Amino acid sequence: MINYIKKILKGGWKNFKRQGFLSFATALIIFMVVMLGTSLFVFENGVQYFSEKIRDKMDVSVYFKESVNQETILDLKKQVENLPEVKSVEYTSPEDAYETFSKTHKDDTFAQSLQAIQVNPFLASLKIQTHKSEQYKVVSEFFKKPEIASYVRDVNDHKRGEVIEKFSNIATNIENIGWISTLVLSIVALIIAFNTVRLSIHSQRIEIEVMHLVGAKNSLVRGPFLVQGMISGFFASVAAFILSTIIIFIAKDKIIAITDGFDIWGIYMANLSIVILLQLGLGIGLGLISSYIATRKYLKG
Amino acid sequence: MIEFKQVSKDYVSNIGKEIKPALREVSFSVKDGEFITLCGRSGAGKTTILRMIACEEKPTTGSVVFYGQDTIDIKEKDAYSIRQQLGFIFQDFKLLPYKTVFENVAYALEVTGQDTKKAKDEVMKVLDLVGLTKKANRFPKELSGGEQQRTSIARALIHRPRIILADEPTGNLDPYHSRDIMKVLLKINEAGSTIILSTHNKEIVNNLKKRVITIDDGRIVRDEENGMFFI
Repeated sequence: MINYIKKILKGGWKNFKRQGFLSFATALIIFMVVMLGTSLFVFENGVQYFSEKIRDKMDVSVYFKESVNQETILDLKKQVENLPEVKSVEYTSPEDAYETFSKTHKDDTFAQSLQAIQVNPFLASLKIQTHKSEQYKVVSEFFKKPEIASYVRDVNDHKRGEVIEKFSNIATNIENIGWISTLVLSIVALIIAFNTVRLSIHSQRIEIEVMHLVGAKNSLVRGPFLVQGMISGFFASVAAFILSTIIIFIAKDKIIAITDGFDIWGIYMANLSIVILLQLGLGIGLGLISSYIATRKYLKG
Repeated sequence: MIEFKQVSKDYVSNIGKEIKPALREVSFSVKDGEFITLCGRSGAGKTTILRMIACEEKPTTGSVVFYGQDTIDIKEKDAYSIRQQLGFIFQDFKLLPYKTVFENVAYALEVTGQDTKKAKDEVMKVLDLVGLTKKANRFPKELSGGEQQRTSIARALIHRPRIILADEPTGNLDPYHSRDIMKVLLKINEAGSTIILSTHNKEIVNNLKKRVITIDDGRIVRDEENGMFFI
């Protein structure tokens, strides 16, 4: 049995080496599919990053009356934090709000006017983020309770509600488009790779017939072709890994700058084992499955 | 022993699904050690007979019995056991292009589960018999037509088959190489192997002075010992 397996492995390796151009063409197509798969992986992470970013911007701001002291507000903050729908709560005091405004508007007339009148018009506020965009209603309901409503000057949910939903829809749509394009491109890639392997095996159909006629069992005919397909897939995966690593490493700073913080290299390195598994699985799997289906056509019984 | 009993074979054409008979009620038997020539025009049914012996085709009606086993009962996936008892020689050689002469010959041993390293001497002996020892490491494209056919014969011989099926083995060769190949086949027959040769080469048939089965339009029209070419 071990000899039989060795024979198949050796046969596959020899075929791979001797059919140089055919092996190269097959590996090239699988390489492109693996690169596409890797790009889709990065794309999916990008889509998630951006939709997360959009959702992060969706919050409910609650402004408190001047008369409400900090202790009361911090107590309310604790209560809100305990709501299961709430992801995070950030307290901003009037002083912090003033300082932030002064910093961001240091060169324009608004800040100068504020300085001139020596008044801080900002109110203390809580910025609340929920796990899902539709949960903001729970938060606004919380602040409409009679015992709490007396502290509140304004809850901006009625203004932001529509915007939040709009952004939420956009984020969901981007994610859906990402998934659909991933699926469609994957299917296209699989069809192309399968047909390339099939064509390369089709060109060897006479050899398969000869192997058959000299009395080879189906497994001995098919085995080397499967090994050959796997070797092509393996080399394609290794090449794709090297190239994708180099591209992502070179592009990382520019991508962070363009996208305002999308750390593609960080994500790539954090998911390195998944990336390697994805690439090897896709490359070797594609070579193996395509070879199996292609040889099946010529092996009766 | 091989027996054809009232064998008919019909093919259905792809266009128009028309039924085309390739063999019609063919009956004959082949004894061990015989040298039989199947003679007839192209398309007469010679190759179909050879393919039926190799279990590549099944009869539409009738039966082909291979050493007591009716080939109709043999499943496609098990047909290799019959083929391992045969040696095939083709008009177009059908060598594996990415294997050397040595590997092409050794492949027929490999498929029977033999270790080719141990059988190296055996392969070299057969290559010596067909005069190709010096070209053992060449690829088929580096050989002449005659050399390719001799490689094909070596491959057919290596596993000591009971029967050798030679389908127009001289069809692509010049007269000099054709005579050479026929000498090798006769030598193999003298050593005890059964040979079934299909050809439409008059000179070869007449020089052999062996049993000749003449086929015309799928029917056996003559079957005679020391036969002559007759079409």
